[in-house]
Amino acid sequence: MGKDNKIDWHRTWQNNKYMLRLIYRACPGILIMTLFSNVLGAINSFLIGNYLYKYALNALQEGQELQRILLNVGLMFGFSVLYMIFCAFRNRYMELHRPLVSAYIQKLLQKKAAEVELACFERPDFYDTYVKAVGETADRAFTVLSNFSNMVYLVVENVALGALIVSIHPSFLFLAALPLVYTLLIAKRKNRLGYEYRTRNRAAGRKKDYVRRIFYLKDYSKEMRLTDLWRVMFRQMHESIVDLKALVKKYGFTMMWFAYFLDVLSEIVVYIGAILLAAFKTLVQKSMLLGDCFVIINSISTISRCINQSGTVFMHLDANSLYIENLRTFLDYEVQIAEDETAPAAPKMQTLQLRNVSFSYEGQQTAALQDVNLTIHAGEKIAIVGHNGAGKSTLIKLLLRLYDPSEGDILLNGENIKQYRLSSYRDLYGTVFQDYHLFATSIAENVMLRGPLTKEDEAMVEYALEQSGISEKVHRFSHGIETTVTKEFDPDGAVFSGGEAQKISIARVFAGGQEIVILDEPTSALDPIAEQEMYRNMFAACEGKTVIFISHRLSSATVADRIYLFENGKIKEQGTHTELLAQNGVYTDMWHKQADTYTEDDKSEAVKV
Amino acid sequence: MSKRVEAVFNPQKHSPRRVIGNLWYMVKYTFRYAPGYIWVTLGEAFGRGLWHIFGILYTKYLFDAIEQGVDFTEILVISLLLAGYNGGFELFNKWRLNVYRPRAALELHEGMQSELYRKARSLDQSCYDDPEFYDDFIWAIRESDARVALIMENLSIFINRIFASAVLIVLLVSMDWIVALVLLFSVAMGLVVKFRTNKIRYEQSLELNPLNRKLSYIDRIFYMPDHAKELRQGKIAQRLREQYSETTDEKIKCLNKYAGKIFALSMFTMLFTTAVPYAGVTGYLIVRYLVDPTLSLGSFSASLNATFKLYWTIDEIGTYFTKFNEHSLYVEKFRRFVDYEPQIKGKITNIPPFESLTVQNLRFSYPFTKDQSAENAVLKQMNLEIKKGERIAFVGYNGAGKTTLIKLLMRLYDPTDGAILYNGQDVRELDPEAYRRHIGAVFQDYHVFAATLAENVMGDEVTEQDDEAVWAALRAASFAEKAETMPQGIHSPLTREFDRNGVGLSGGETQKVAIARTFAHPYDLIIMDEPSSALDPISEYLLNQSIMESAKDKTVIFISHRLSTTRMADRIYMFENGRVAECGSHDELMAQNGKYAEMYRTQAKKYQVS
Repeated sequence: MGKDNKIDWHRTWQNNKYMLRLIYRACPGILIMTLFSNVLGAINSFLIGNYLYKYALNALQEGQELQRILLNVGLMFGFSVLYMIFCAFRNRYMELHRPLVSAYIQKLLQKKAAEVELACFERPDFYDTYVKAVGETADRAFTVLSNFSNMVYLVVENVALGALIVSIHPSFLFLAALPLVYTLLIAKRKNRLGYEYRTRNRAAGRKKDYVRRIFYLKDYSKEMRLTDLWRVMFRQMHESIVDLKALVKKYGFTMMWFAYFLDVLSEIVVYIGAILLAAFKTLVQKSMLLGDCFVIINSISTISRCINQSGTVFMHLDANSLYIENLRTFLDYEVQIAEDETAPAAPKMQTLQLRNVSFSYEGQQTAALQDVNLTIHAGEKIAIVGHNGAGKSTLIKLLLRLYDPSEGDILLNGENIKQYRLSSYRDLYGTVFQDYHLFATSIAENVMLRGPLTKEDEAMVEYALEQSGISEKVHRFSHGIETTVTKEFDPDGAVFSGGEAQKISIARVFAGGQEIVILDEPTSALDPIAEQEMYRNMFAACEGKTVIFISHRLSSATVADRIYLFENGKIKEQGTHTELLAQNGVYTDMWHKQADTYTEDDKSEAVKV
Repeated sequence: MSKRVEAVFNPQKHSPRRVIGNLWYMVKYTFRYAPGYIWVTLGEAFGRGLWHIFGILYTKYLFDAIEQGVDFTEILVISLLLAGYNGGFELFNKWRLNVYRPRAALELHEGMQSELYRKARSLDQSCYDDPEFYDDFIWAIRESDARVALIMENLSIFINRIFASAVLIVLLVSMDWIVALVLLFSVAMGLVVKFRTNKIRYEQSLELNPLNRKLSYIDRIFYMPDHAKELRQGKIAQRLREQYSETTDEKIKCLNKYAGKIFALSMFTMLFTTAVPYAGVTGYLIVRYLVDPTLSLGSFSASLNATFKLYWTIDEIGTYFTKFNEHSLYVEKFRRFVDYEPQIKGKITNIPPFESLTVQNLRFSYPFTKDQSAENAVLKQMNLEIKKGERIAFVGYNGAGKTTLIKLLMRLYDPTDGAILYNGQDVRELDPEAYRRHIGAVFQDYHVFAATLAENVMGDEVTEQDDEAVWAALRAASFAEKAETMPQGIHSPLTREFDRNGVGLSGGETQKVAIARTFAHPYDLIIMDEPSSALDPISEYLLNQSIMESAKDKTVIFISHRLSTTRMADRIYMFENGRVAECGSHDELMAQNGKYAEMYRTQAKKYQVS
């Protein structure tokens, strides 16, 4: 951001050009139409608003033929009428083509957002600056476009008006340019200050907005009624208001003077000054023609407004540039875990091996995983157990290459997984996450995670829903598997409870047909019978497949070929259920805590541990 | 959906009287919370109006003065006077815009939002289930203060334009009444076209809104961290982008559908209310000036100036009618929310300690579900009784009605039929706030708030005297150990919502904090809905121990899917399909060999390996 008050105009222009190029690629017509219509508009405004009077008055003074004068005036009006007709066409064109620009740009960003590694979403600074900001990019594109069109318009009108004024007396042009000089001089300071003001405002306003959300979101409604937390929320709102008021005090006056001096310059110095100068020249010096004096009086405010607006256009160029800079950084961001189309497709899994794998989340001191070594063979059923926060879910994220290890390697059939094409590698896995989410699209597409679907796909969806035990519920909707999830876009949309939504996300694995299945606490929201059934179906469907599952309910771990017990990011114990019980370690302890409550007679022993 | 919106938003529904009434209703809020704002706004309106008029008179004076060759000093003095007025007015205006208004807006925000939040808190839980009310409610609360500020700004400009155009009309009629007439006619026509266009635009927006919502939904999916993992699986990201294109196509199709009409109207406006009157009036004045030697240049130019200013002013006034109508529609939603009378109420505030809770022939359907029939009710013919000191477990399948019953016990809803009795008294006679002070509840969808840990636990502001209670509650929820490691102990801020050093909790930890809430107050009755669902086995075990320890002399109701935890209950209610299917102690139910026994064995079997 720097302290110098000079704008890097080169960079500013580059950035604006970048956005204009995006618009051009999305729909060349929009840019061309904008250019053309603004040139015409400026000419029209000059002819009708300024030139017409000078022409008519001077022609009259020179004693030209009345008929000829009227003919020329008529021609100018004719042009104006034609321009208006053109405007109606232009409006229609623009309205119909604007969505193309939005779609082009937003899709570009969406693609990028889906490509960048997960860490980008979890790094608050990166997320706040880049990812979140791009949500409004399409609107920004139109801001850039409208600034560009103003620029074209003003260039043409300024040239025309400048010529008109110079033909009368050049000194007026200098006078009229004063506000522009002022604007350019303070532009950087004002923009930076404005930027700082807005940024700090946003930060100070965050609490206020949070409190508002708390009060209207349904999620919090129960707690708001059952506790007195509203008092805490009121205090936070008040703190936010106090901070914001302090900001108004700190920046408001400076902003006020910036704006006021500009106003004094353009509305008083230039306007009244030019009029007085013209009147002086005409009445006292008698060096100016009456007609020219009228033109000055009539046009001076237009001229100074035009020049003044040029300053604003430059300011906006700079303001847009700051924003586009972020956009470019995001679009140019080199994805760390990237899809390489030339890389070989991942082969069928034989073994999956973690070799000395350690991993720390950015900005966290303790490692989430430390020196983990394990090997999984095709067809094995692997259970991963351990306390909350022991690193189980992190392990899953590494396996799926949502992150790469900080140290060590993950090998597929002995080869580093980084060698394979990312999408093909991820396609090996069918995963149910702990924090599963459904999309507001059809149930079928939610299960297949793609679309549009063929007849075979639909049969697969039916099968998967049946397996995960939600088929009956789905068929109660009038559109069956075609029902849209959530009522967001369809009043007849399907609303699922937590357990039901989990079943839908489990169905994804049944439908996916992948060789490796990862289940991260897949049954937390299910009742015991449903859980039982789900596991039975899952293991039946996964016969011959590799299954890696995380579960807190150790009963489901007993069937595993091998159990890994994680503690503080390390593998603490491993082996089959029987082996682990024989070790009499942490696993045994855990097992008894759960199991003993089910066995009728040894409550006392459970308490002892 | 579109039908529903139409019912609320019919653009021609509001009579001028209603619009004025609604605007006044909102202005009153300004009077209440930022009265100075009104005077400053009015000051601006008249100050600017005067400036427009001075401008025209000044130009007329100048032209005439120069044509007649008056003394330059006179021009100088008058010009400087005008400059002085403008300089003073603009200083006031810039102060208003940059300093006064932001501050007044904040005062308005705090005053109005406090009032609204109190109201929001008093709404019935069922209001959140009524999509129509909820939409309005969100809108009312999200926009209210900005809307009042906007209304104030619009009113200011409106008053100033009315003032200016009144003076302009007088001016113009005195100079050239033909021009005035032509002008008024074209303005009137312009207004008609504008109303017509607005109506079409409105119809179009009804069709476009769902499409725009869909587009922004897809955008959101890509930028929100929530879906980030799933987007990296399969081809769903690609599919969503395709849908984005499809929706864009639909949007263009919809725009196309109205484009013809809008084009025709826009052409009409361009030609008959802009180009032709403009050319006509200017042409007429030029011809008149050329042929009529009595018309001074000053009058000519002043007429021209006044004409266009008036045209522009009245045209703008037209747009304000639409804006005010829109405001009025908003205000009605706002009033609907503010005037809402909570249904869950009761007069008795002096409530004795808990002795018993009786559910009598209870039937319940969520309000705003289509099917209100008795056979499809969420709870049907439910009867149960809970006495002081008992441990009660609710078990059953997903969707059997357990959580719903708890919502009724907490009076988040009232029964459709039947009653709930607290110490033999119908809970509907009790003041809900006072009633809830006797019962602590943790729901499955608990949240922590961006406040300190202690505040989250107490569910209120804290003083030093609360420290002990907070620690005790945290110990009961087996969270004390973690709290000790936090940088500022129990006064550490939770969530990174607006504090970078805020503590982010895992799912299990969040659940423990939620549980601690029920131990922070001396509740007689504690209700827990799946209190250990997010916990690992050891934590679950410790938690259960500690809950039972801390709740020794309290009455406890808990819902659990893990039947091992229900064994210690004095009585278990097995829910099925909105009814109590079985009821009794663990041993009794096992002896009955019914649904409960089946469920229990299913789970226990898996642990019998050792």
